[in-house]
Amino acid sequence: MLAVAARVPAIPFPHVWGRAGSVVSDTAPVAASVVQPGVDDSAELIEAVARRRDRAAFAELFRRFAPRVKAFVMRSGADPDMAQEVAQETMVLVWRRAETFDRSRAGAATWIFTIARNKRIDLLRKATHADFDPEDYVLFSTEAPESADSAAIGREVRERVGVAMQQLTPDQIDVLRMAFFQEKSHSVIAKEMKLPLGTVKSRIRLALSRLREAMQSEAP
Amino acid sequence: MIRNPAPSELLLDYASGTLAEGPALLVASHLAYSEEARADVAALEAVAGDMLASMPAEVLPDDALARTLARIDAEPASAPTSPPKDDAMRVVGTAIPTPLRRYLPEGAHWQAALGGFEEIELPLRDNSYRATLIRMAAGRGLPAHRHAGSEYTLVLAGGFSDGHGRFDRGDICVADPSVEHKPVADHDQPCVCLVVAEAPVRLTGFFGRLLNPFLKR
Repeated sequence: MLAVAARVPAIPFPHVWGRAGSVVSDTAPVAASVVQPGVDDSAELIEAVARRRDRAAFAELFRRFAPRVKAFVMRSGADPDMAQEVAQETMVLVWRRAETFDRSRAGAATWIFTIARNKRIDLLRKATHADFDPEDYVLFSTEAPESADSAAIGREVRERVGVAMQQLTPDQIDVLRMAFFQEKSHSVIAKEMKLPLGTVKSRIRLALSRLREAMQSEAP
Repeated sequence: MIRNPAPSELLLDYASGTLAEGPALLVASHLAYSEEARADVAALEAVAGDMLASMPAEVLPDDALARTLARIDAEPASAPTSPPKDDAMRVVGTAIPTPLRRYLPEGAHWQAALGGFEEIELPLRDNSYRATLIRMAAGRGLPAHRHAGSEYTLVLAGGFSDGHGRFDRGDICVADPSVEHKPVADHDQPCVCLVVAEAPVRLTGFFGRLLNPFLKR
Protein backbone atom coordinates (compact mmCIF):
# COMPACT_ATOMS: atom_id res chain seq x y z
CA MET A 1 0.00 0.00 0.00
CA LEU A 2 1.27 3.42 -0.87
CA ALA A 3 2.01 5.98 1.79
CA VAL A 4 -0.79 8.46 2.32
CA ALA A 5 1.04 11.44 0.88
CA ALA A 6 1.65 9.70 -2.41
CA ARG A 7 -2.06 9.56 -3.07
CA VAL A 8 -2.66 13.27 -2.61
CA PRO A 9 -3.64 14.62 -6.03
CA ALA A 10 -1.95 17.77 -7.17
CA ILE A 11 -4.30 20.57 -8.07
CA PRO A 12 -2.40 23.09 -10.14
CA PHE A 13 -2.82 26.46 -8.49
CA PRO A 14 -0.04 29.02 -8.69
CA HIS A 15 0.18 30.35 -5.24
CA VAL A 16 1.28 33.62 -3.73
CA TRP A 17 3.08 31.92 -0.82
CA GLY A 18 5.52 30.30 -3.18
CA ARG A 19 6.72 33.49 -4.73
CA ALA A 20 10.39 34.17 -5.01
CA GLY A 21 12.40 36.88 -3.39
CA SER A 22 11.15 36.39 0.13
CA VAL A 23 13.59 36.06 2.99
CA VAL A 24 12.27 32.65 3.97
CA SER A 25 11.72 31.41 0.44
CA ASP A 26 14.07 28.47 0.97
CA THR A 27 11.33 26.92 3.03
CA ALA A 28 8.57 28.10 0.74
CA PRO A 29 5.87 25.57 -0.04
CA VAL A 30 5.67 24.94 -3.73
CA ALA A 31 2.86 22.43 -3.56
CA ALA A 32 -0.54 23.05 -4.99
CA SER A 33 -3.35 23.95 -2.66
CA VAL A 34 -5.87 21.26 -1.72
CA VAL A 35 -8.46 23.99 -1.79
CA GLN A 36 -9.46 25.42 -5.13
CA PRO A 37 -10.44 29.04 -5.21
CA GLY A 38 -14.17 29.42 -4.84
CA VAL A 39 -14.72 25.75 -4.06
CA ASP A 40 -14.82 24.40 -0.57
CA ASP A 41 -15.90 20.82 -0.93
CA SER A 42 -13.92 20.01 2.20
CA ALA A 43 -16.67 21.95 3.98
CA GLU A 44 -19.19 19.48 2.57
CA LEU A 45 -17.09 16.58 3.84
CA ILE A 46 -17.03 18.05 7.36
CA GLU A 47 -20.79 18.53 7.18
CA ALA A 48 -21.20 14.90 6.09
CA VAL A 49 -19.23 13.82 9.16
CA ALA A 50 -21.41 16.04 11.33
CA ARG A 51 -24.71 14.79 9.88
CA ARG A 52 -24.10 11.11 9.22
CA ARG A 53 -20.79 10.22 10.91
CA ASP A 54 -19.73 9.54 7.35
CA ARG A 55 -16.46 7.55 7.49
CA ALA A 56 -15.72 7.84 3.80
CA ALA A 57 -15.98 11.62 4.05
CA PHE A 58 -13.69 11.54 7.08
CA ALA A 59 -11.15 9.37 5.26
CA GLU A 60 -11.06 11.92 2.45
CA LEU A 61 -10.59 14.79 4.93
CA PHE A 62 -7.81 12.80 6.58
CA ARG A 63 -6.11 12.21 3.25
CA ARG A 64 -6.27 15.92 2.42
CA PHE A 65 -5.37 17.46 5.73
CA ALA A 66 -3.52 15.08 8.06
CA PRO A 67 -0.30 15.07 5.96
CA ARG A 68 -0.47 18.85 5.72
CA VAL A 69 -1.06 19.40 9.41
CA LYS A 70 1.97 17.20 10.04
CA ALA A 71 4.03 19.30 7.61
CA PHE A 72 2.73 22.50 9.18
CA VAL A 73 3.72 21.43 12.69
CA MET A 74 7.14 20.17 11.56
CA ARG A 75 7.87 23.57 10.10
CA SER A 76 7.66 25.12 13.55
CA GLY A 77 10.44 22.79 14.67
CA ALA A 78 8.58 19.78 16.07
CA ASP A 79 10.04 16.33 15.37
CA PRO A 80 8.15 14.10 12.91
CA ASP A 81 6.66 11.85 15.62
CA MET A 82 5.27 14.77 17.58
CA ALA A 83 3.99 16.43 14.40
CA GLN A 84 2.24 13.20 13.48
CA GLU A 85 0.68 13.02 16.93
CA VAL A 86 -0.64 16.58 16.54
CA ALA A 87 -2.00 15.67 13.08
CA GLN A 88 -3.81 12.58 14.35
CA GLU A 89 -5.23 14.32 17.41
CA THR A 90 -6.34 17.20 15.20
CA MET A 91 -8.24 14.76 12.99
CA VAL A 92 -9.83 13.10 16.06
CA LEU A 93 -11.17 16.57 16.97
CA VAL A 94 -12.32 17.17 13.40
CA TRP A 95 -14.49 14.06 13.86
CA ARG A 96 -15.71 14.99 17.34
CA ARG A 97 -16.38 18.66 16.70
CA ALA A 98 -17.71 18.45 13.16
CA GLU A 99 -21.09 19.69 14.43
CA THR A 100 -19.51 22.99 15.51
CA PHE A 101 -18.17 23.71 12.02
CA ASP A 102 -20.01 26.64 10.47
CA ARG A 103 -19.05 27.45 6.92
CA SER A 104 -20.43 30.95 7.26
CA ARG A 105 -17.70 31.66 9.82
CA ALA A 106 -14.66 29.91 8.38
CA GLY A 107 -13.56 27.76 5.49
CA ALA A 108 -12.65 24.12 6.09
CA ALA A 109 -8.89 24.72 5.97
CA THR A 110 -9.20 27.69 8.32
CA TRP A 111 -11.28 25.69 10.79
CA ILE A 112 -8.81 22.80 10.72
CA PHE A 113 -5.92 25.25 11.13
CA THR A 114 -7.46 26.60 14.36
CA ILE A 115 -7.89 23.06 15.73
CA ALA A 116 -4.30 22.15 14.80
CA ARG A 117 -2.97 25.40 16.29
CA ASN A 118 -4.71 24.71 19.60
CA LYS A 119 -3.59 21.07 19.60
CA ARG A 120 -0.02 22.16 18.97
CA ILE A 121 -0.17 24.51 21.96
CA ASP A 122 -1.78 21.82 24.08
CA LEU A 123 0.71 19.05 23.25
CA LEU A 124 3.92 21.02 22.65
CA ARG A 125 3.64 23.84 25.14
CA LYS A 126 1.34 22.12 27.65
CA ALA A 127 -0.74 25.29 27.68
CA THR A 128 -4.26 26.25 26.71
CA HIS A 129 -5.36 28.52 23.90
CA ALA A 130 -8.22 30.67 25.16
CA ASP A 131 -10.78 30.49 22.41
CA PHE A 132 -13.17 33.19 21.46
CA ASP A 133 -16.85 32.20 21.68
CA PRO A 134 -18.57 33.21 18.43
CA GLU A 135 -21.99 33.25 20.12
CA ASP A 136 -20.73 35.54 22.82
CA TYR A 137 -20.63 38.93 21.15
CA VAL A 138 -24.38 39.09 20.85
CA LEU A 139 -24.28 39.94 24.52
CA PHE A 140 -21.80 42.74 24.17
CA SER A 141 -21.82 44.18 20.70
CA THR A 142 -23.79 47.32 20.11
CA GLU A 143 -23.11 46.98 16.42
CA ALA A 144 -25.64 45.84 13.84
CA PRO A 145 -26.29 42.09 13.81
CA GLU A 146 -24.82 40.06 10.99
CA SER A 147 -26.76 39.74 7.78
CA ALA A 148 -29.05 36.73 7.53
CA ASP A 149 -27.15 35.58 4.49
CA SER A 150 -23.97 35.01 6.44
CA ALA A 151 -23.20 31.83 4.48
CA ALA A 152 -22.82 33.87 1.33
CA ILE A 153 -20.63 36.35 3.19
CA GLY A 154 -18.44 33.54 4.50
CA ARG A 155 -18.03 32.19 0.99
CA GLU A 156 -17.08 35.59 -0.34
CA VAL A 157 -14.53 36.10 2.41
CA ARG A 158 -12.85 32.80 1.53
CA GLU A 159 -12.79 33.59 -2.14
CA ARG A 160 -11.18 36.90 -1.38
CA VAL A 161 -8.39 35.61 0.83
CA GLY A 162 -6.36 34.62 -2.21
CA VAL A 163 -7.00 37.95 -3.87
CA ALA A 164 -6.30 39.80 -0.64
CA MET A 165 -2.96 38.10 -0.16
CA GLN A 166 -1.80 39.30 -3.54
CA GLN A 167 -2.19 42.84 -2.25
CA LEU A 168 0.49 42.19 0.36
CA THR A 169 4.12 43.17 -0.12
CA PRO A 170 6.85 40.48 0.12
CA ASP A 171 7.91 42.08 3.44
CA GLN A 172 4.44 41.70 4.86
CA ILE A 173 4.11 38.13 3.58
CA ASP A 174 7.43 37.20 5.20
CA VAL A 175 6.14 38.32 8.58
CA LEU A 176 2.91 36.32 8.22
CA ARG A 177 4.80 33.26 7.02
CA MET A 178 7.17 33.38 9.97
CA ALA A 179 4.24 33.79 12.34
CA PHE A 180 2.19 30.91 11.00
CA PHE A 181 4.74 28.51 9.49
CA GLN A 182 7.48 28.92 12.04
CA GLU A 183 5.30 29.75 15.02
CA LYS A 184 7.15 32.92 15.91
CA SER A 185 5.84 35.87 17.85
CA HIS A 186 6.24 39.36 16.40
CA SER A 187 9.10 40.13 18.82
CA VAL A 188 11.01 36.98 17.81
CA ILE A 189 10.40 37.86 14.14
CA ALA A 190 11.86 41.33 14.73
CA LYS A 191 14.93 39.81 16.37
CA GLU A 192 15.51 37.26 13.62
CA MET A 193 14.99 39.73 10.80
CA LYS A 194 17.19 42.23 12.68
CA LEU A 195 14.48 44.85 12.43
CA PRO A 196 13.29 47.37 14.99
CA LEU A 197 10.17 46.16 16.80
CA GLY A 198 8.28 49.20 15.49
CA THR A 199 9.02 48.22 11.88
CA VAL A 200 7.58 44.74 12.38
CA LYS A 201 4.53 46.16 14.16
CA SER A 202 3.84 48.57 11.33
CA ARG A 203 4.25 45.80 8.74
CA ILE A 204 1.64 43.76 10.59
CA ARG A 205 -0.65 46.77 10.85
CA LEU A 206 -0.32 47.53 7.13
CA ALA A 207 -0.79 43.88 6.18
CA LEU A 208 -3.97 43.74 8.23
CA SER A 209 -5.38 46.91 6.76
CA ARG A 210 -4.70 45.64 3.22
CA LEU A 211 -6.30 42.29 4.02
CA ARG A 212 -9.28 44.07 5.53
CA GLU A 213 -9.64 46.36 2.55
CA ALA A 214 -9.39 43.56 0.00
CA MET A 215 -11.84 41.36 1.85
CA GLN A 216 -14.40 44.09 2.25
CA SER A 217 -14.25 45.38 -1.29
CA GLU A 218 -16.70 44.32 -3.97
CA ALA A 219 -16.10 40.93 -5.51
CA PRO A 220 -13.94 41.21 -8.64
CA MET B 1 -16.40 51.00 17.59
CA ILE B 2 -13.72 50.33 20.19
CA ARG B 3 -11.54 53.40 20.67
CA ASN B 4 -8.54 51.52 22.07
CA PRO B 5 -8.49 48.20 20.16
CA ALA B 6 -5.93 45.43 20.51
CA PRO B 7 -2.73 46.30 18.63
CA SER B 8 -2.35 44.38 15.34
CA GLU B 9 0.73 42.49 16.52
CA LEU B 10 -1.21 41.14 19.49
CA LEU B 11 -3.92 39.86 17.12
CA LEU B 12 -1.30 38.18 14.91
CA ASP B 13 0.39 36.51 17.89
CA TYR B 14 -3.05 35.36 19.04
CA ALA B 15 -3.99 33.97 15.61
CA SER B 16 -0.64 32.19 15.18
CA GLY B 17 -0.89 30.70 18.66
CA THR B 18 2.38 32.22 19.87
CA LEU B 19 0.81 34.47 22.49
CA ALA B 20 1.21 33.29 26.08
CA GLU B 21 -1.93 32.02 27.78
CA GLY B 22 -2.56 35.20 29.82
CA PRO B 23 -2.52 37.71 26.95
CA ALA B 24 -4.35 35.17 24.74
CA LEU B 25 -7.14 35.09 27.33
CA LEU B 26 -7.25 38.88 27.19
CA VAL B 27 -7.42 38.94 23.37
CA ALA B 28 -10.09 36.20 23.28
CA SER B 29 -12.16 38.28 25.71
CA HIS B 30 -11.56 41.50 23.77
CA LEU B 31 -12.96 39.84 20.64
CA ALA B 32 -16.36 39.65 22.33
CA TYR B 33 -16.51 43.46 22.25
CA SER B 34 -14.90 44.38 18.96
CA GLU B 35 -16.29 43.43 15.57
CA GLU B 36 -13.18 44.91 13.91
CA ALA B 37 -10.85 42.70 15.94
CA ARG B 38 -13.01 39.66 15.14
CA ALA B 39 -12.78 40.43 11.43
CA ASP B 40 -9.00 40.91 11.69
CA VAL B 41 -8.47 37.60 13.50
CA ALA B 42 -10.78 35.85 11.01
CA ALA B 43 -8.74 37.31 8.13
CA LEU B 44 -5.45 36.19 9.68
CA GLU B 45 -6.80 32.71 10.37
CA ALA B 46 -8.09 32.53 6.79
CA VAL B 47 -4.57 33.35 5.59
CA ALA B 48 -3.20 30.60 7.84
CA GLY B 49 -5.86 28.17 6.56
CA ASP B 50 -4.84 28.98 3.02
CA MET B 51 -1.20 28.40 3.92
CA LEU B 52 -2.11 25.06 5.49
CA ALA B 53 -4.02 24.00 2.38
CA SER B 54 -0.98 24.86 0.23
CA MET B 55 1.51 22.91 2.36
CA PRO B 56 3.40 20.14 0.65
CA ALA B 57 2.10 16.97 2.29
CA GLU B 58 4.31 15.07 4.71
CA VAL B 59 4.31 11.31 4.59
CA LEU B 60 2.15 9.53 7.13
CA PRO B 61 2.39 5.82 7.85
CA ASP B 62 -0.08 3.65 5.95
CA ASP B 63 -1.98 2.81 9.10
CA ALA B 64 -2.34 6.43 10.29
CA LEU B 65 -5.98 6.68 9.26
CA ALA B 66 -6.83 3.30 10.79
CA ARG B 67 -5.11 4.28 14.03
CA THR B 68 -6.96 7.58 14.16
CA LEU B 69 -10.28 5.82 13.59
CA ALA B 70 -9.35 3.38 16.36
CA ARG B 71 -8.83 6.33 18.73
CA ILE B 72 -12.19 7.74 17.71
CA ASP B 73 -13.86 4.40 18.43
CA ALA B 74 -11.98 3.80 21.66
CA GLU B 75 -12.97 7.02 23.39
CA PRO B 76 -16.64 7.80 23.67
CA ALA B 77 -17.49 11.29 22.53
CA SER B 78 -17.43 13.64 25.48
CA ALA B 79 -18.22 17.29 25.89
CA PRO B 80 -15.36 19.13 24.17
CA THR B 81 -14.95 21.66 26.96
CA SER B 82 -16.51 22.03 30.35
CA PRO B 83 -19.46 24.38 30.11
CA PRO B 84 -18.57 27.85 31.31
CA LYS B 85 -19.76 28.70 34.79
CA ASP B 86 -23.08 30.47 34.65
CA ASP B 87 -22.78 32.07 38.07
CA ALA B 88 -20.20 34.55 36.71
CA MET B 89 -22.78 37.34 36.80
CA ARG B 90 -23.46 36.72 40.48
CA VAL B 91 -19.78 36.35 41.39
CA VAL B 92 -18.34 39.22 39.34
CA GLY B 93 -21.39 41.49 39.36
CA THR B 94 -21.22 42.12 35.62
CA ALA B 95 -21.48 40.11 32.40
CA ILE B 96 -18.08 38.79 31.30
CA PRO B 97 -17.07 37.10 28.02
CA THR B 98 -17.17 33.28 27.81
CA PRO B 99 -13.38 32.74 27.77
CA LEU B 100 -13.13 34.51 31.13
CA ARG B 101 -16.04 32.56 32.58
CA ARG B 102 -14.14 29.38 31.79
CA TYR B 103 -11.22 30.62 33.90
CA LEU B 104 -13.24 31.69 36.93
CA PRO B 105 -12.20 29.29 39.70
CA GLU B 106 -14.70 27.38 41.85
CA GLY B 107 -15.84 29.50 44.81
CA ALA B 108 -14.30 32.69 43.41
CA HIS B 109 -15.18 35.93 45.18
CA TRP B 110 -13.88 39.49 45.31
CA GLN B 111 -11.08 39.93 47.81
CA ALA B 112 -9.86 43.24 49.16
CA ALA B 113 -6.34 44.02 47.94
CA LEU B 114 -3.79 46.39 49.43
CA GLY B 115 -4.26 49.72 47.71
CA GLY B 116 -8.04 49.97 48.03
CA PHE B 117 -9.34 47.80 45.22
CA GLU B 118 -10.70 44.26 44.95
CA GLU B 119 -9.39 41.33 42.97
CA ILE B 120 -10.07 37.77 41.84
CA GLU B 121 -7.06 35.84 40.61
CA LEU B 122 -7.60 33.60 37.56
CA PRO B 123 -5.44 30.47 37.60
CA LEU B 124 -3.39 29.91 34.41
CA ARG B 125 -1.52 26.80 33.30
CA ASP B 126 1.28 28.98 31.98
CA ASN B 127 2.49 31.21 34.80
CA SER B 128 4.69 33.57 32.78
CA TYR B 129 1.80 36.00 33.22
CA ARG B 130 -0.63 36.63 36.03
CA ALA B 131 -4.31 37.21 35.18
CA THR B 132 -6.46 39.07 37.67
CA LEU B 133 -9.93 40.58 37.66
CA ILE B 134 -9.75 43.99 39.32
CA ARG B 135 -12.66 46.06 40.64
CA MET B 136 -12.19 49.73 41.44
CA ALA B 137 -14.97 51.60 43.24
CA ALA B 138 -16.47 54.62 41.44
CA GLY B 139 -13.98 57.46 41.47
CA ARG B 140 -11.34 55.31 43.18
CA GLY B 141 -8.16 54.00 41.63
CA LEU B 142 -5.16 51.76 41.82
CA PRO B 143 -1.92 52.93 43.39
CA ALA B 144 0.47 54.50 40.87
CA HIS B 145 2.65 51.71 39.57
CA ARG B 146 5.28 50.78 37.03
CA HIS B 147 5.85 47.38 35.45
CA ALA B 148 8.85 45.14 35.17
CA GLY B 149 7.24 43.64 32.06
CA SER B 150 4.23 44.16 29.82
CA GLU B 151 0.83 44.75 31.33
CA TYR B 152 -2.45 44.57 29.40
CA THR B 153 -5.76 45.77 30.79
CA LEU B 154 -9.17 45.03 29.26
CA VAL B 155 -12.14 47.03 30.55
CA LEU B 156 -15.13 44.76 31.29
CA ALA B 157 -17.45 47.30 32.92
CA GLY B 158 -17.36 51.04 33.56
CA GLY B 159 -14.30 52.98 32.48
CA PHE B 160 -11.08 54.50 33.76
CA SER B 161 -8.49 57.15 33.01
CA ASP B 162 -4.81 56.72 33.83
CA GLY B 163 -3.21 60.03 32.91
CA HIS B 164 -2.31 58.70 29.44
CA GLY B 165 -5.78 58.00 28.09
CA ARG B 166 -9.42 57.11 28.74
CA PHE B 167 -10.59 53.53 28.51
CA ASP B 168 -14.16 52.27 28.14
CA ARG B 169 -15.74 48.84 28.08
CA GLY B 170 -13.97 46.63 25.53
CA ASP B 171 -10.89 48.88 25.35
CA ILE B 172 -7.37 47.54 25.83
CA CYS B 173 -4.73 49.56 27.68
CA VAL B 174 -1.13 48.46 27.01
CA ALA B 175 1.57 49.47 29.49
CA ASP B 176 5.24 48.59 29.13
CA PRO B 177 8.04 49.05 31.68
CA SER B 178 8.57 52.67 30.63
CA VAL B 179 5.06 53.64 31.69
CA GLU B 180 4.04 54.70 35.15
CA HIS B 181 0.31 54.99 35.40
CA LYS B 182 -2.42 55.46 37.97
CA PRO B 183 -5.77 54.17 36.75
CA VAL B 184 -8.79 55.92 38.31
CA ALA B 185 -12.35 54.67 37.74
CA ASP B 186 -15.01 56.98 36.35
CA HIS B 187 -17.03 58.80 39.00
CA ASP B 188 -20.43 57.38 38.13
CA GLN B 189 -19.80 53.63 38.42
CA PRO B 190 -17.33 50.97 39.54
CA CYS B 191 -14.83 49.75 36.96
CA VAL B 192 -14.11 46.04 36.40
CA CYS B 193 -11.03 45.07 34.38
CA LEU B 194 -9.02 42.04 33.41
CA VAL B 195 -5.36 42.77 34.11
CA VAL B 196 -2.70 40.50 32.60
CA ALA B 197 0.80 41.31 33.82
CA GLU B 198 4.06 39.72 32.79
CA ALA B 199 6.23 40.21 35.83
CA PRO B 200 6.07 41.71 39.30
CA VAL B 201 4.41 45.12 39.44
CA ARG B 202 6.32 47.74 41.47
CA LEU B 203 4.35 50.43 43.23
CA THR B 204 5.80 53.90 42.92
CA GLY B 205 5.23 56.93 45.11
CA PHE B 206 6.03 57.09 48.83
CA PHE B 207 3.08 55.09 50.17
CA GLY B 208 3.17 52.72 47.28
CA ARG B 209 6.80 51.87 47.97
CA LEU B 210 5.89 51.06 51.56
CA LEU B 211 3.33 48.54 50.24
CA ASN B 212 5.75 46.74 47.89
CA PRO B 213 6.96 44.19 50.45
CA PHE B 214 3.35 43.11 51.01
CA LEU B 215 2.55 42.46 47.36
CA LYS B 216 2.46 38.82 46.43
CA ARG B 217 3.20 39.61 42.79
